[in-house]
Amino acid sequence: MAADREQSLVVRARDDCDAFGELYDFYLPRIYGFIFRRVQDRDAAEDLTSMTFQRALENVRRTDFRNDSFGGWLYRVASNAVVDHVREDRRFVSIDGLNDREEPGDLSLDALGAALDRDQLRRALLSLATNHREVLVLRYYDDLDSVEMCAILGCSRETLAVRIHRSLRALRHAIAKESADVA
Amino acid sequence: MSRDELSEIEQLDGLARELADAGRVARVASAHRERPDPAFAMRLRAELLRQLPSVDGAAYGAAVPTPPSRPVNAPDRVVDHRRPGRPFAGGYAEATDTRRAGGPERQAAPVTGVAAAASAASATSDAHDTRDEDSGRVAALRPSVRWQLPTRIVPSRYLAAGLAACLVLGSFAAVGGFFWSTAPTAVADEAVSATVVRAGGEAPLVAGMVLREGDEIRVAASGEAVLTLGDSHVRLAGGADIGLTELDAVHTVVNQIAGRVYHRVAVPAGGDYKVVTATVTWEAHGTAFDLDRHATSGGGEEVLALALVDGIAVSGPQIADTLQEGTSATIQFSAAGAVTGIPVIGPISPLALSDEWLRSNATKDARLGLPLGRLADLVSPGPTAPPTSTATGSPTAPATDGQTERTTSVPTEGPTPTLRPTLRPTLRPTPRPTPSSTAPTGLGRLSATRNGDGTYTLTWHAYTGPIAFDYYKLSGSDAAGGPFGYVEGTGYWSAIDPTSTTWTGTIAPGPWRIKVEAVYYPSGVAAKAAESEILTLTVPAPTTAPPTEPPSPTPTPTLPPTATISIHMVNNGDGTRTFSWGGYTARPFGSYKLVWIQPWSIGADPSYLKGASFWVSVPSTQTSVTLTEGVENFLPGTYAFRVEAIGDPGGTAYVFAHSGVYELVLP
Repeated sequence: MAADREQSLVVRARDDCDAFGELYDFYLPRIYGFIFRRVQDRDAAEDLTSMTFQRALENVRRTDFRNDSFGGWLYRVASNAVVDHVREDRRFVSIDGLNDREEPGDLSLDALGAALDRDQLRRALLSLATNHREVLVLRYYDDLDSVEMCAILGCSRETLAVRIHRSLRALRHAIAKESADVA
Repeated sequence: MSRDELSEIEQLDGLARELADAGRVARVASAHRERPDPAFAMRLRAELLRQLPSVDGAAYGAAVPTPPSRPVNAPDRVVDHRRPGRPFAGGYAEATDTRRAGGPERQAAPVTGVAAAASAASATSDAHDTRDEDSGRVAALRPSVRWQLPTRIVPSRYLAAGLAACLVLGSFAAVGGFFWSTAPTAVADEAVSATVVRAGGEAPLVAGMVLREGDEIRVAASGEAVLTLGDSHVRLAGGADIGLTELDAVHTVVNQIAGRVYHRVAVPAGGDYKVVTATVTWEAHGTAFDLDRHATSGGGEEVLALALVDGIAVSGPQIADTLQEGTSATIQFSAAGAVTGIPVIGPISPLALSDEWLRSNATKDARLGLPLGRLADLVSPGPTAPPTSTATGSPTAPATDGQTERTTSVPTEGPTPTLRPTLRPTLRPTPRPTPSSTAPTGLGRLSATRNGDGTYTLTWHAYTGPIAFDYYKLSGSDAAGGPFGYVEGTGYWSAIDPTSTTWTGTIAPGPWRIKVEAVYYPSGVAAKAAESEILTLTVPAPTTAPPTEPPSPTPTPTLPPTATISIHMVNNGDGTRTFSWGGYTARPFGSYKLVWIQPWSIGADPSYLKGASFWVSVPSTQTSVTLTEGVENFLPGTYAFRVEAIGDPGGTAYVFAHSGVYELVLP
């Protein structure tokens, strides 16, 4: 959705259900998919999606809502909701190991890794530090644009570029380490 | 920048490409699970919109069965829930956390398990309290849904003022439409047994319905639908399913999820039109093409593309090419959406063209006055139109012997005047980019010289670009704009050593359009580094017997002319490939021969009678054979396949029927 169109809809959405409906129609499948990829549970995904859009509705009606990137803001809300959800799940004792995940992005990382042709690259990806994994998953699995990534990561575009570069370099080093280990 | 730094950048770029490809595959693999449940989407939409002032029921929200008006007053009702406290998806639970819900006078509100959990977390941790809510952090969600009864009555004195305001605003909106950059008109022109899915809700598709970005159009097996997206037409056959991924003034992206769809593309300057099938994207700027995406017996999918008018660009993990007009491509996908095997690209077979769906579309296009390209033969010509009315040759007489009439563009089609009762007078004619625009030119003009022995010598400029290409590809097309093939008229092309810039050989009589391309394989798939301008050449019929006629297979005068049969190849995904072909039944014959060669020499033409490198014999009662990859004569490489129906009338082998040549790159 074009930025100017989105900003116009957000302004109108304060008191126009059609405007908010258009935003909802556009972002629902994206936000739901974003969440589902991380929780892999339909019920939880629906819960978190509902919370995200409820939150969106409340905020667009506020006069002090910063209307610079509604999509990016929405992704950030969804991302934080997922973090809360996963952390909350970890408060419960797992009996089957399903809740032994360390980070909320692990399921996405697994899916991305499974689609890689090279075993070596897959192992290297899984061995990365959390901050690098997060950047690579958002960029290459979720296919988010820079504005959305900046909103989720809470950084500027320049910082984002550096983080992507560092993550790729870390991946390259991990591949080299994998090669050395095999040798 | 040092060499090491450059090397590192290249490596990082390579990693980024691998990750991007993997991400695309992973998204496709899970796409079906990542769609929100329609019931959930509709209910949530209705609940959200109901909280806004102007609740007039959005198109889809209004159709949703509304929840009880005052759940707080119905404590005994059965709560439909799959999980306690689900907010909108399955029912409504009353808030039980009085700290969050406002104390004893708690409100009935959607309370999620997550929210409840977050609420509980906040009791033990101040994590949420330290967050800036404006930054998007979800703290424990406060139940804030208020049921608003639609019982407000607008005072009558405001009605007149409201109507006047609407008229003024409507006028502004109408006038403003001329100045604002708006999305292209997307509307359903025809709809039979079709539905539109919007935000998870599904409603019947009716003619005249305005479509939006994000809509999905599903057509029942017995249905049909026609959409207009800007100036482009999209015709969906029964069983088709497409998503309108992107719709703006210049860009259109259609996700073809299933079924067969005919795309007649017309985009403004600078625009593009893309169709996504799993991980492969088809892009056109002004053309007509047909995509058929269907499931295969192995659990995967297959996409058959037909470039019918002008070319289309195709790109994906294992393919990056331009399909010229008259070319088909078959790509197979695994169940996860990844490309399996090697995409098969070849000329559109007559069998594929003799299709009622294509005939129907050709007729519609002819009525619209659109260029027909390869569809021209499917349209019944008008009483004054000659059968060759679709020829794209020069308006002047064809070049005579040795005359080189060069052209770099394909003249536009000239539909017969009797077929132009324009149904949509506002439709702009489809722009037809020249084929040369899809590939760089760099080999200059192609010149031809007729030699004394009846052969021709073609020369061109050497490629001097940075790409280490593999060979020059010399190919020709008939003057009617058919696909480029081998200039000796056998349906294949010549591969010429990259150190040479000339070719000498015989060319079959008739008008030709000939070009040379510098071909390389960046990732196992052929790509053009450069190409020459197109040479138009007319070769006269020889006055004596052609010197190059092979002596042995000379047919007797009583034999029928060699018929043409179709050939198909299916990658079975288990290391085998099955070739099948249309049966020849006109005359008794001995057997079929599936022959193949590695076409790395000039004049490559797979034929049993001409001593093809490899062949298998198949009884005349069978029309298929399966080859195993990696064994015997089917090792990794590039091959040209052909099937021949061969008999032995009068003691001399004769080809009763043969197929076109199928190019196959075995990785």
